[in-house]
This record gives sequence, C-alpha cells and structure tokens, in this order.
Amino acid sequence: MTEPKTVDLEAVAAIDPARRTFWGDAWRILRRRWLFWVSLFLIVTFVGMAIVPGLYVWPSPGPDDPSGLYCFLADARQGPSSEHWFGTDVQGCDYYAQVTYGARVSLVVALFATMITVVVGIVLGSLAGYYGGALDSVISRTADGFFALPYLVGAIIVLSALTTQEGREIWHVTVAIGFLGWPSVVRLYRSTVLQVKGLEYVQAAKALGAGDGRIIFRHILPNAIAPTLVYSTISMGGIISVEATLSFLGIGLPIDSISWGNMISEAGTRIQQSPHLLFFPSAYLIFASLGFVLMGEQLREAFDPRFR
Amino acid sequence: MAVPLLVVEDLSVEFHTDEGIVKAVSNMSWELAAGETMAILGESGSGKSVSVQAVMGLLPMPPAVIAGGSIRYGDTELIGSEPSVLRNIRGPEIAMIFQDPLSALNPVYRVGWQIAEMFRMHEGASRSEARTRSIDLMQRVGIPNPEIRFRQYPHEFSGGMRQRAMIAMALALNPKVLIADEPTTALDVTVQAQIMDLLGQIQADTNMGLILITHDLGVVASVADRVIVMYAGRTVETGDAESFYRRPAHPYSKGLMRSVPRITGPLERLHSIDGTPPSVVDLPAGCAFATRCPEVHDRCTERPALIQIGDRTRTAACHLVGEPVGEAV
Amino acid sequence: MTIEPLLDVRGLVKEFPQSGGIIPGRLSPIRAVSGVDVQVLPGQTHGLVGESGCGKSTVARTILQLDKPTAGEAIFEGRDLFKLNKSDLREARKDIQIVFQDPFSSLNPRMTVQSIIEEPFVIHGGAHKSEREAEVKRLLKQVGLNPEHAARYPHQFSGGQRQRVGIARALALQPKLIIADEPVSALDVSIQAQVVNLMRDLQRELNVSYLFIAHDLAVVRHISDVVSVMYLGKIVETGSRDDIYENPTHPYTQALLSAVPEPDPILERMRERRVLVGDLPSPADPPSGCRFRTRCWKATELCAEEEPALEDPGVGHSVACHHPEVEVAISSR
Ligand SMILES: Nc1ncnc2c1ncn2[C@@H]1O[C@H](COP(=O)(O)OP(=O)(O)OP(=O)(O)O)[C@@H](O)[C@H]1O
Ligand SMILES: Nc1ncnc2c1ncn2[C@@H]1O[C@H](COP(=O)(O)OP(=O)(O)OP(=O)(O)O)[C@@H](O)[C@H]1O
Ligand code: SF4
Ligand SMILES: [Mg+2]
Ligand SMILES: [Mg+2]
Repeated sequence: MTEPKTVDLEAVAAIDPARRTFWGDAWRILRRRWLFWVSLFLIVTFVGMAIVPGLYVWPSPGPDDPSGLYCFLADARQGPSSEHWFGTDVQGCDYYAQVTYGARVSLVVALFATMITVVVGIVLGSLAGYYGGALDSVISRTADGFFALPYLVGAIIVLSALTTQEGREIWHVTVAIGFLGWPSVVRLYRSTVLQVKGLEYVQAAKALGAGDGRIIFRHILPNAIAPTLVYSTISMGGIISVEATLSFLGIGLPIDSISWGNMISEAGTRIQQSPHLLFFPSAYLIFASLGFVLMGEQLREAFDPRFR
Repeated sequence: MAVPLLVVEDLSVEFHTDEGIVKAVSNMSWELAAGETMAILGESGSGKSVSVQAVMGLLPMPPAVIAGGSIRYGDTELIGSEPSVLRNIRGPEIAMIFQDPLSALNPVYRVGWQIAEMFRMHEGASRSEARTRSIDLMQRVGIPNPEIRFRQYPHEFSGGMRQRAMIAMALALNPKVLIADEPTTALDVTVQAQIMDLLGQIQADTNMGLILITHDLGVVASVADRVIVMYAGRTVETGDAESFYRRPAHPYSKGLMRSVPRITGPLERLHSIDGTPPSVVDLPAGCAFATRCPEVHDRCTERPALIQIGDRTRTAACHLVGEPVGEAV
Repeated sequence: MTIEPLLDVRGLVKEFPQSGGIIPGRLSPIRAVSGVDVQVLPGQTHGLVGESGCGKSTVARTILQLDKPTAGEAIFEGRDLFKLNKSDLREARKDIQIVFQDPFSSLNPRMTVQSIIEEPFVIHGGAHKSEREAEVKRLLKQVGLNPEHAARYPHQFSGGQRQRVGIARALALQPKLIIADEPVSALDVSIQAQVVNLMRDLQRELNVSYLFIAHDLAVVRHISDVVSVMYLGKIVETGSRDDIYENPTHPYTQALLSAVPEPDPILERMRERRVLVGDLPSPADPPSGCRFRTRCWKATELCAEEEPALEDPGVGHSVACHHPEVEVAISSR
C-alpha cells in the first residue's frame, strides 16, 4: 500500500456489525446446537420414509404381494422376532413394513393440513393486520370464535359436514384439521404484520405509490414470515398426533388407509394380547412429532434476537 | 497535576466473535484527577463505550477479553481483583450514567425506590432515612415535586427527568469519579443544556472527576478540561481542551472539527471527511485513518505512535505532527 | 413573494385518537399538528425544526398521506393533495418523495440495492429491465456510490452509504419535491456533512425542492433558505434563514439557539445561556393561550389567556408571541 489514496473507499464499506444477515445469524446459532441436529435427523428420517419407504423396507413389495406389505395370514399377530422386527399384525402382515409405509399418509395429512393453516392464516392475517378496521374486527372475532370451540368437537362437526355417502377420504381429514388450525396462525401473523407495517421501508414503498399487493407480498411477507414458520413447524408435530387421535376416535382417515392413527386405533382393541401393535406406531408417531417440535423450538430460538 | 484518581495504562480490549477478533480498544492510556473533566470523543464504534465499560467491569465476557493493560483506582488494580474489592469501588467510588436512561432504570420498580435502594444496600440506611435522603437528592438534581415523583414509575417520567433520576442514583453514594456515556444524546437540545448545567454544578460542589463520552464537539467545548480523540479503537489525539480546539493536530480531529455544522459564522460548504471508517475486525496495519486522510503519504503504512507535541500535555498519533504541515483550522 | 410555491400547506391539523381509555373515544384526541402552514418554493429548501414530539414527522407523513390529515389543505402544483382520488394520488407520488431518518430501517433488508432503487420504476411501469439497470447505475453514481455494488444488500453498507441509497431511491422518478425527515440525525458528524453536501449538490443540479426536517438547528442552517420553528404542534416563528439565525424573535427560538453548544471553548464560556426549565408538555393537554408559556421566561397573564397569532411584529418575519423582541444572536456579536 504505497499509494493509500487509491484505495477503493467503497471496498471497505462492509462495516462489521451490519455485515450479518438474519438467516446467516440463525444458521450460525443452529449449527452449534446438538438438538438441532437431532431434530434434523428425525425429520429427514421420517420424511425420507414417507417419500421412498422402499429404502427402509427391503426387499420392496413385489407383484406377488398385491397388498404390498408382506402379508401371510398364517403369521398373524406374532410378536417381534428376527424375521419380523416389529412382529406382524392381524392379517399377518410384517408390522415393520406397515408402520414404515404408514408414514406417508400420516405426514401427507400433516403437511397439507399445515399448508392450509399457513396459507389461510397468512392471507387472513395480512388482510386483518394490513387493512385493520372493520375487516380486522370481523377476522379477529371469527378467529376468537374458533378458539372457543373445543378442537375435537370442531373436528367432528367439520368431518360430518364433509363426509358423503362414499365415506371419508384422506383430504376430508386434511381439510378438517387445516380448517381448525388457521385461527392461531392468523393471530400470530397479524401481530407480526402490525409490527412490520410501521417500519420505514414499508412507509417508503407506500410513498412511492406501491399498491397494497406489492407492499403485502414484497415488503411485509418476507420480513414477517419467520415466526409463522416456527409456529407451523411446531404444529406439524401436533397435527401428526391429531390425525392419530381422530383415527383413534373412529372419525379420522378411511379405515383402509395405512396410517399410524389407524394402526393405533386398531391396536387399542387388542392391547392385552398384542401390545407391540400399539407400541411401534406410537413410537414412530412420537419421534416424528418430536422431530418437528424440536426443530420448531430450535428455529424459534435462532430467530429470536434475545438468544443471540 | 494533582495525584490522579484513576489511571488507565495501555488498555486493550478485544471481542472474540465468529467474524474474527474485534480490536475494540487498542493500547489506551489516560489519567483522571479530582475535579477534572475529561472528554472522550470519536466516531460511532470507535471504542469509547467499551473503554469505560472495562473500567466499570461491565464488559460481557465472553466475547470480550481484556487483552492487556491496567486500570488503577488509587492503589487498587481493578483488572483481576476480587469481586468483593471491586464492589466497594464500582458504584460507591466510580459511578456511571448511560445514554438511554429508560433501559437503565428498572421499569417495574418505583423510581424513588430504586434511588433509596442505593442507600439501603450500600449504607444499610433505614427505610425512612433512605426515603428522606432520596427525596433530598431528587430535589438536588432538579426533579420537581420529589415527594410525588418518588412514588412514580420510570415510564411516568420524561426523558430528561429519567436522566436526572439516573444521575441521582449515580450520585447517591458521593462517588469520586462519574462516568457519563453520552448522557444527553437521547435528549433534546434544551433538555441537554439543563443536564449539562446540572453535571457542571454537581462537579463544582463535590470536586468529582468526570469522564464524558460524546460525539458532540459542542458539548465537549462547553465543559471539558481535557480531550481524548479515538478512531477505530486507537487514541489519535489527547490534549487540554482549549489548545485542542484552537489547533487540532491529527488530520481526523481537524476534519471532524471542520465538519461540524454551526449556528454562527460563515455559511460555507461543510467540510466532509470522505469514505467510511475501517472495519474494526480487519484494521489496516498502518494508520487506521489512512483510507480517509487528506494528508496520507508513504509513511502511513506504518502505525504511528502517540507523539508529544507542543509545550503542553498534548499528543497525537500521526506521522506529520511535529512537522509544520497543514494549516491551522 | 411573487414566485408561486411548489407546495403550499395551509391549516394542517392531525389528531390521533388516544388509546388506553376504558371507554373508546372518551379521551380527547392528541393534536399532534394543530394548524400548520408551510410553503416550499421551487428549487429551495424549507427547514422545519423543533424538539422531539413537536409533530415534525406528522407534518411530513400527512403531506404524503401516509397518515390521513384531520383538516387542512396541501396545494401541490395547483391541486389539493388531500382531495385526490387513488389514481391521481399515485401519479402525484411520483413528484413527491421521502427520505427517512433511520438508514437501518428505511431499506427492506431482504432486497438488493438494485431492486430497492428500481422499485419506483417497477411500480410506475415503463422502463425495460436493461434500462432500469442502467438507470440504477446512474443513480448510484449520482449519489456517490460505486455502481458495481448494486447487487449488495443494505446491511453490507455503512449508515451514510445506506442513506445515499435512500436518497437514490427518492431521486429515481425525478421528483420535484423531496421531504427529508431527519435524514442526517442518525449519522456521525463526519458522515452527516457528506450527506448534507450531497443533498445541496443534487439540489443545484436537479433543481429539486426540499422540506428538510431536523431537530438540529445547525444542520438546518447549512441547507435551508427558509426556516420554520415548531413547538407542540404549531409553528412559532418562520422566516428566511438569516431572519431566524440573526434575529430570532420568539423566546423559544432564542432558547433553542442558545442551547446549541458551540464547538469552541472560549466562545462557549463567554456565552450567556438561556436554559429553559421543564419539559415539553403533552400534546394531549396543551397549555391554554400560548403553548410555550409554561417554559417561557417572559410569560404574562395575557399569554395564558390568549393565543398569539403567527404574524409579523415589525421584524420582517412572522412570530407567534405576545412579547416579541429581537435578541441579537451570538453570531453578530
Ligand atoms: N458485545 C460485542 N461483541 C462484539 N463486538 C462488540 C461488542 N460490543 C462492542 N463491540 C464492538 O466494539 C467496537 C467499539 O464499540 P463501542 O460501543 O465502544 O463504540 P462507541 O465508540 O461507544 O460508539 P457509539 O458512539 O456508537 O456508542 C465496535 O466496533 C463494536 O462493534
Ligand atoms: N400513530 C400515532 N398515534 C398516536 N399518537 C401519535 C402517533 N404518531 C405520533 N403521535 C404523537 O404525535 C406527536 C408528534 O409526533 P411526531 O412523530 O410527529 O413528532 P416529531 O416532531 O417527528 O418528533 P421526533 O423528533 O421525536 O421524531 C407525539 O406526541 C406523538 O406521540
Ligand atoms: S406569547 Fe407569552 S408565553 Fe408565549 S412565547 Fe410570547 S411571551 Fe412567552
Ligand atoms: Mg457508545
Ligand atoms: Mg420525527
């Protein structure tokens, strides 16, 4: 540096405390926490199971096994053994394969139900938070109403309203769970919108003449979404159990669909003779929900500046 | 010069962070005598607060590390002392007030109670004695209706009143040294004038030593006896206020002095120092001001030492001081 | 004055409902701005000064209609901004831009500088992508930033540089008026001077007008042609820069000026200070008569009974005081 005058002044621009990004900071915190890695492992395991169960069950069910799941009626209701790690169910199907294949329906229901909650919650939360006034009152009071309704009662009402003569389908349950979940997302998202709405860059966009849509989606959403993401990750865990509860009560998924809820519900009647039928799907259920709940908790701490 | 109360020698403070080592304060030295007002000036992030937080033992460790140096109060070395020794010095002998009085006062306790607590905790005063003394003190710092104000919460006070309450708490135990970290930055000019007047009066009454941190050259001019200018964690100039203002020596001080907008004098274009301060994570090996200095030259790739200048107690860290370069400001 | 003002605000009032009461609407509203007149001439700067909470930002926000005004009018090029319909307002917004105080919250942290500065073009249609890119480069250069840094995010810049980005965004649509709400208050002195100089240079180059809001009288002096001093929602003195700084007539203006410390120990020690007692009263419950009387050393009974009008007491500019008296400013000693 013999000629310091030629130093590019702009190159020294990056001033340290400001050099960090929100996501970068979050990642720095997360990667140091073992619970984050545990929950990530759990989630990856179960999501993988839902997407390609064949990776977990080998050999994959072939054409000679149309029900798809290694069923031999003669082997019905055996306890765990080296051949059938989790034992077999009432139809003699390998229970390990059953439980593994059950991940798909359980997680799909949880995922779509969560998506419904988040989308509905964000749309209504944006409207309520951004426009305020009468619209806000209507949306917020409706959400309050939903809160007052006990969850299961609500689910029963919605499910009976949706169910046709042909019986229940998976999407009925998904919609019912999603339908009951949005009020909490609305509350949460609305309050974040209220905070972000007052920030100067949102005001600046308004002063430029930006339309409401642009402000809501381009300026508010990316800066307000984090708490909702955390919440929905945690609630994914809860929703997996809700599906199981509904199935257990006999108002959940169609009986022929392979889901943890259905397995638990069926096993409940035979708990004396074959406790393994209850144990394994419950264990999967618990670990899968735990994965999402833990992940949500970790995200929350990583996103919260007070933990930094 | 009188026997110094507080002596800081060769103090260096670092923050060990993910992005690297932040050299927040490098080799800082100063002394403070009774009755004296010393101002620490400098740009945001130059290490003003960190240097006094080290004196007060307020640095978060980790990430902060005192990388070297000594801080002595009388005969006691503060760095590495027993907590019990420190408790009798920090607070009773050396007190501090902050920029943001709202966050320094506990919102859930009554203001009066928080002041009274000082007497009860440190002097074991009785409840009624603590109350009388607190009300006296509130009166002295200019809080009107102290009996009523005694029972109010911080949020019921205005910004200026809160700062007075903070000052009352700091003064409760008659400290010998008061450190004021930007005591008026959050306040309006008319209130700032009230607070600075108050600090001046108290100092005249008690012969307390005052360390004032600010980036307002005007505030410094009105109260300081001595000035320290910091840039990027390093001391770039020290000296008595009068001759410093008459003829600042370091190019940064000169530039700063000329950038200050004024309410009097000719209305020429404001002088500005181009560029931005360097990142403290990645300080240049040479003079930290080199990238912005109008007088930069070959030797600036070497770090300049603080050099004694003039006949008084002035020093500056620039290769050009001592040589007749640059016109007076 | 013969020149037609670019912006002529008259009788601006803004009330905020007070929250916190048990019965909504029972508490009287806060009058943050109560009857303010401001004119901005083409190519000039009108400085608006006053202490925290006196309503400066509210004036800015209502002119831009980020808040709905309670009463008053704002004539901009012959049309009342407060009466425009949605699409006309959108058009008008091309001509009036704002620069905010906080360079850390006024830029969307999730957008690159490129998309921040081109947003005005996107919103108001027109320009093709490549044209927009060229335009952003030109704007960055104009405000003294390296055009190559368009792909960076705001956090990669220092405070002063971010404020330049904010100014570039405001300049994008070639507005006739920029309302700057404390654009330099959050910056260090050495950076503050850069931004003030930049704004002055841009004014000379582009003939843009400014409504420049600040609490720092010294900064305002360096950029304004006309200055208004605001106290508790009202303008108490208004005049040319020299009127205000050389012949301050309202006691509040005098107090404000005397409270600004001069960066010169000798001058400082010679100076007499007018230290005001007390704090700014709450705008929810302003004093009767003259609003300044609770802190004024000249206050009489008249001041408590009757509100002084903003008019020229024979000093060549308008003052709202029952006992106006020119106080020779320190500069002319
Ligand atoms: N907890 C911390 N972790 C990492 N770096 C820190 C921490 N606290 C302070 N620093 C860094 O130390 C440097 C000096 O900070 P300091 O607060 O002393 O500045 P200052 O001169 O008081 O500035 P200001 O005028 O803005 O108050 C800054 O670069 C800052 O980023
Ligand atoms: N949305 C609001 N609701 C209620 N009161 C408000 C609102 N916005 C501002 N106020 C009040 O109006 C008054 C004027 O506020 P404003 O922000 O205009 O002041 P300011 O002069 O810009 O102050 P500062 O220098 O602190 O920015 C204040 O008393 C403030 O509390
Ligand atoms: S009208 Fe009266 S109270 Fe108000 S400023 Fe003038 S002298 Fe003071
Ligand atoms: Mg500080
Ligand atoms: Mg404001």
